[in-house]
Amino acid sequence: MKTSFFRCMNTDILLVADGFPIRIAEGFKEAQEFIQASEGRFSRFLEESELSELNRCSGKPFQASPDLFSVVVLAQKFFHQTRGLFDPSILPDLRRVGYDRSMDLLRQEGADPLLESLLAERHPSFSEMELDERRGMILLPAGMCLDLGGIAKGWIAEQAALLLSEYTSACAVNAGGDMFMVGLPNGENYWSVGIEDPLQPVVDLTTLKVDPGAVATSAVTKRVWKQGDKQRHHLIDPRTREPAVTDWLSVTVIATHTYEAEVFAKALLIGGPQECEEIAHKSSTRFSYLAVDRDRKIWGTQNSLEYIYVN
Amino acid sequence: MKIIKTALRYWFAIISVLSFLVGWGMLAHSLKPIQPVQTTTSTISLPALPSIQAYNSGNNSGSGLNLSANNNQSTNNFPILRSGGS
Repeated sequence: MKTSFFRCMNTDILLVADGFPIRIAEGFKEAQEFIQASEGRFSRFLEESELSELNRCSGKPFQASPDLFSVVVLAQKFFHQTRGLFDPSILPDLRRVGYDRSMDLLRQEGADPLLESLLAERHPSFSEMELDERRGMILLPAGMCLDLGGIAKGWIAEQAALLLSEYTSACAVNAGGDMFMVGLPNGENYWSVGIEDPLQPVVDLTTLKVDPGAVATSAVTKRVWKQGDKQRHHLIDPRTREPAVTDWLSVTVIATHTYEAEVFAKALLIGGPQECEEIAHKSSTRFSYLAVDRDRKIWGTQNSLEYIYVN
Repeated sequence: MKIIKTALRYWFAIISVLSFLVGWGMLAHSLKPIQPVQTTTSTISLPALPSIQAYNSGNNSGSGLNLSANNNQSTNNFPILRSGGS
């Protein structure tokens, strides 16, 4: 298996492929260019990105590119399927708790403690966003701004993997733990995916054996920072508008699409054990999940057991 | 012309028969294929799967299943793909 590693979207990107070396090199180049171009479209940290332009146009109709429009349509769909636990309109709250710049910068400079003193302003519900599917227009209510970070990352990983698959016999794109796999590695019946211990990321808690498709993990232990004397993380609970207080440290979801896996991993992590069963049963999206609690025990549905590799 | 045609027919017939006989002779005297060697099959003993315990609503509430009585089972084959959030 050939691999290519680079950093983009403030996360580690790993491309993996089987096939002819020359074709793989071409595929890696095209996938990397696609990921970098997509960061320029979806990043909220780049002033010139299309997402930043959309956020500046709240209150006015915005003509979106097909890619941005597709991801916003998906975000609206999953907002309803997760009963609002996945909500990309929590960006003002994310900024208030200190996540107002890229994680790389936040780790270097630390969070601004003064932001915390800002009152949590009321902002419109994401359900009030209007979409004109025929013309590809988005109307954000005045005062709303979106953070498509996770769902866009999942969507980009999947699109990049599909692009790479045109050059290879089997491939995978892993964008910071959100991955999409096409085909099977030579001589293998499944893909092996290690699930990191949230408290000790260099160690794997277990290994999953998964078919081609998607895996994504959300964790409260990864994007963390200090704001004054408070420990913060990046998963805002839309019900409290504060970083989620949850019994789980991480949730991994196995699904058909990476954006589905990403969204449901986040929603289940925020919802915790109380909410996850209901979301999993009521959602029209089929997926399996594994959750790691504070004692590093793994929880999940009965069908999740079939994914656990025992050596 | 007719003589040439007849001669060619005899020539092809003789060459075909000779080729067949030479091929037969070569195959008859060649080495026999290697017979597969019967090996004794060894059974690989696999560890038992971790038992699924009914989710006990103590500190946690919900109806999931605990999939790991002892989940600190790092595998020796370190997978190339790892997921742990970003």
